[in-house]
Amino acid sequence: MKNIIKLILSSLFAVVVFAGTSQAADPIKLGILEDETGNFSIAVIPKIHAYELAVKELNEKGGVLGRPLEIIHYDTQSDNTRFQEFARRLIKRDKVDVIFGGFSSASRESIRPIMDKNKQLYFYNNQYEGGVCDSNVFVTGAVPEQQFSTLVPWMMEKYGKNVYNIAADYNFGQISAEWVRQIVKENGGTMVGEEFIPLSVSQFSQTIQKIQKAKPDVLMTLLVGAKQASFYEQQAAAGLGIPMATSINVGQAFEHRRFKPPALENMYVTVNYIEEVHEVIKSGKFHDKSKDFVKRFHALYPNETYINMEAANAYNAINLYAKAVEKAGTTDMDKVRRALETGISFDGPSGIVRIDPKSHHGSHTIFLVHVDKGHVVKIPKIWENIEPYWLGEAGCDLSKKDDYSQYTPSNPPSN
Amino acid sequence: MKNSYFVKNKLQTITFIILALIPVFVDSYFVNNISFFMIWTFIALSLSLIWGKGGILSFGQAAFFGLAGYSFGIIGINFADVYGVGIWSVIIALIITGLFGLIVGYFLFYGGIYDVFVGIVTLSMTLVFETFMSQTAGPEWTVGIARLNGFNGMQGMPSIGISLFGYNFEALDNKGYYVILILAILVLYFLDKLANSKFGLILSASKEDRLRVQSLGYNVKRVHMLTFAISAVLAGMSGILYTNWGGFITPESMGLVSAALPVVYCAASGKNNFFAVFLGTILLVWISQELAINGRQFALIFMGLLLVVATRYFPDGMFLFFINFTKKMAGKIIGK
Amino acid sequence: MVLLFNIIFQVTDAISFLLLSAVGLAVIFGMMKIINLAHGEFITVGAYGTVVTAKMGLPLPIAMACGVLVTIIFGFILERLIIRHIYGRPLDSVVATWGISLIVSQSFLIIFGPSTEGLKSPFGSFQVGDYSFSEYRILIIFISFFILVLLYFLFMKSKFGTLARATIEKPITSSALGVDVQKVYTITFCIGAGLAGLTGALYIPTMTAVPSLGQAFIVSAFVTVVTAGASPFVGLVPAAAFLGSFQTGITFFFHATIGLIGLLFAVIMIIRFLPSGFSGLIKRRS
Repeated sequence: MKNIIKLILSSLFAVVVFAGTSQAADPIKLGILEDETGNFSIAVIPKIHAYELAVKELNEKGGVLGRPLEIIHYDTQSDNTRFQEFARRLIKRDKVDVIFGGFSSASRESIRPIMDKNKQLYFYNNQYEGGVCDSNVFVTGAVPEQQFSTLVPWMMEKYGKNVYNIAADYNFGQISAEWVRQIVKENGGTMVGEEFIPLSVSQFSQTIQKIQKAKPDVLMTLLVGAKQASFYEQQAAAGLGIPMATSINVGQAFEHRRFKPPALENMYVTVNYIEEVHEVIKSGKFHDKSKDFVKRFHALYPNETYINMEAANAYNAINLYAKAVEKAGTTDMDKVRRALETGISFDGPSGIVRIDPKSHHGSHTIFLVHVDKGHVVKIPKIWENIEPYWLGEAGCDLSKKDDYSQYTPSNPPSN
Repeated sequence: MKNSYFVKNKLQTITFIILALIPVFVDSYFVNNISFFMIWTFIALSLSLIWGKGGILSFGQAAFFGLAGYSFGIIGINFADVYGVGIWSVIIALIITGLFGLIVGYFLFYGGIYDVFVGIVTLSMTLVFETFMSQTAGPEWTVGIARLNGFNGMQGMPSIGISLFGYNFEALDNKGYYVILILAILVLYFLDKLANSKFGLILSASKEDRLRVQSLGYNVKRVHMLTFAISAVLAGMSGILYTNWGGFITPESMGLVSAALPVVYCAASGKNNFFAVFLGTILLVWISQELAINGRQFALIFMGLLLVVATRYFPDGMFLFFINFTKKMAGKIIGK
Repeated sequence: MVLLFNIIFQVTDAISFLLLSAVGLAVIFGMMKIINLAHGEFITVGAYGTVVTAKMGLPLPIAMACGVLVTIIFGFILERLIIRHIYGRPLDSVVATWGISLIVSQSFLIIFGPSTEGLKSPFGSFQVGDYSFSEYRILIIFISFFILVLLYFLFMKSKFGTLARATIEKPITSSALGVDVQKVYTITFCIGAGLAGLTGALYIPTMTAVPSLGQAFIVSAFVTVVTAGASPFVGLVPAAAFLGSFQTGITFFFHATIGLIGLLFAVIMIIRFLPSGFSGLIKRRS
């Protein structure tokens, strides 16, 4: 008797569930793989909120193609294996129409094979070392040619031609260092030193001594993670006093808010957005866009730690996808990809972001951010419409030829 | 011979049958997910052998995991067009790992290193691997045509599989599930036989009192070295299966967390009992995944609580406790 | 002359980092044989305790003392609830302390968020030739050696120390002689916790305040304690001195990655060729 009742109840439950899902307009499912917890969460939580903000706004305007957008997010815990597990879940079980996500390059690389195998449309919305030429992947994050080709010559012109570079000892740091070396040379400078530091190092006394020995004019700091970020406090305590330049810090993990001044005194960063844009630029289009974006963001998330550049990228990505789906008239992943390759652009918090059909990467406005000794931010220069030119020039053309690789300056596509 | 194992161990046999039937009732995502859980049982079993039976705690299993995974990948990428590479890359990778395990075992046991020192030496070895591999991002770090690619990981290796008479068998999805299951059954059978053999008895005895067993004339060092090599191969199996499952391997697999996790799975399940470790690992990896999905912020807290409670109240292992409990209950129902 | 000062600074800076990483673990692992995978979390507790109380306005030394106090209390609670049930089961301590480390680090993330505004290094910098150094770091070096001397006298020469060591080694005999064994264990564990908290308190002005900050110390701690050998307070300084010099030397001639690998390699070699660690070496000679 008990079993019969159980059977009836479970059937009823099943009916209700299925009936429920078939009544609503069939939503477009956006899979999100981002680190809500773990070492990377500092820079990633604003991204997650940005996705949610973008989706909420689009749904308030009636959704895309008349269908609401639905987010399915799994916390990848800053763990590559979780990325793999949940990528499969999103593709096989949740059957999502598109996937957004990834912070570290390793996490992106751990799921790219899965995306390619399943021909899954995937947006990577983070700055990284560049070089991904993959038919299924679109990148809204900034790449070295955008950040360094602007930053390094500017620093050399202002402070001098002798450059010292400390970089995290792994792909991102090493490839970025290649870019720095190249650009320094092209601009008639000298690399007076280069040191690669393992990710687990948190004590920098020796590093600081080596830098002082070389007497550089400019110190490039390509340091990743909370442990390596201890460098800034330690160099300030030791009174190092050399102007620093980076592509990574401040714009992602807002160190200028987290460290006590003057740890980041005289730090220069090239970013594609930070939340202070409208506070520093008092008028004009960048002021208006940033102010409006921050206002809407804080309306939904009043206690947001910091609206970083990756949050802007995440927001842009959702909107670019929406525009592409509207243009394609369908969520079919191949057709959406082709729509994205028609030069889709979106006018976002930091200005216009346009997808380059050849490389699937986004063009950006690059802001040069300067942090002073009170950790107050200034923006001495803005470069508009900096294209992700390298991959296209080097031989990657996804609009004509499929590819599924990552290239580096020393291993370009034309090999 | 084989019959007696399955007859003696009814609970195991029933479990294997259930596992074999699962793909019939569930969708491919679920099957793929259970494959993923089972992949970790081999490395946990490797610890169960060296630690549970042998009394030697090693943090080096993650190093063998990585070594085998990378070897499998390197061989596969370099010889992608050679017939049968999907099979013999596995065999060669396991041989390499076993040899390395033999060398490390020699260094440890013939060098008189025991107890907690084994843990530290093997942990150092694992971290050396991780640190070294993490910085192999440059193009100069290539073995043949396979780029190690440092922290970003290596990908592009062919799957485990073989082409027979025009039919392409790849150990992925449902087929992969059965390959892993069959391997697991074979390994459990082998370990059971090993534990009950003279070799196994020397091993268990030397866990109790190493000096006494040695003084009785048995070559304990050799037994330990060989056991270490076998456990290295088992850990390597997990490494290869993982690399095959995701098409990807990274130095993170040889980090501090990766080194500690199998120890945790093994200890929480009941390190002395191979079957408990097999089931326990599957369940623990599953629970940890479910917590990550549903518990989100609290996932790791629940996981931590689970482990603390396990050691506090189930010192011989949680799943061993439940298995014995199940057996007792089953015995009561059937026997009485 | 400048070069000499430079070298001495680099080496002693590295040594003091190893010493301070190891000191709390030396008590809990070295003496009590509990493989404390939550050692990093004790350091984190001490660090956060310092940051929070300093933010409330307390002067830095008092804030650091508060950090240490908080860690001692935390250690006390852990000991009562969990640790006392796993004495004598060194290998089960792996699972329990791993669980504790997960709970604590995640709780910190939830309570404090992924990052908290840190503290500035006190004092300033001074010049020696072309190089400038942080005064605070020099202070840390002196403090680390001072702590070691203090601990040596506490555990090797004082009545409590002898009692503690005897009780931990032979609990049944000690109990028969009237010693409250549980109380000795608890006090010793709390000392270990407090020391780890002190490490966190001392280093937090030089690091970022994130819940995972303790991770930076764990490997250094374990390798130093193990190479110190059976008698941690005798062997800790020589172990740290050797490892610190070795790593600094290699990093000086090559770079940090090789330095780290070199350190781990040195540990393996020491364990292989000096089975009782550095304390064994000293004891044999004396």
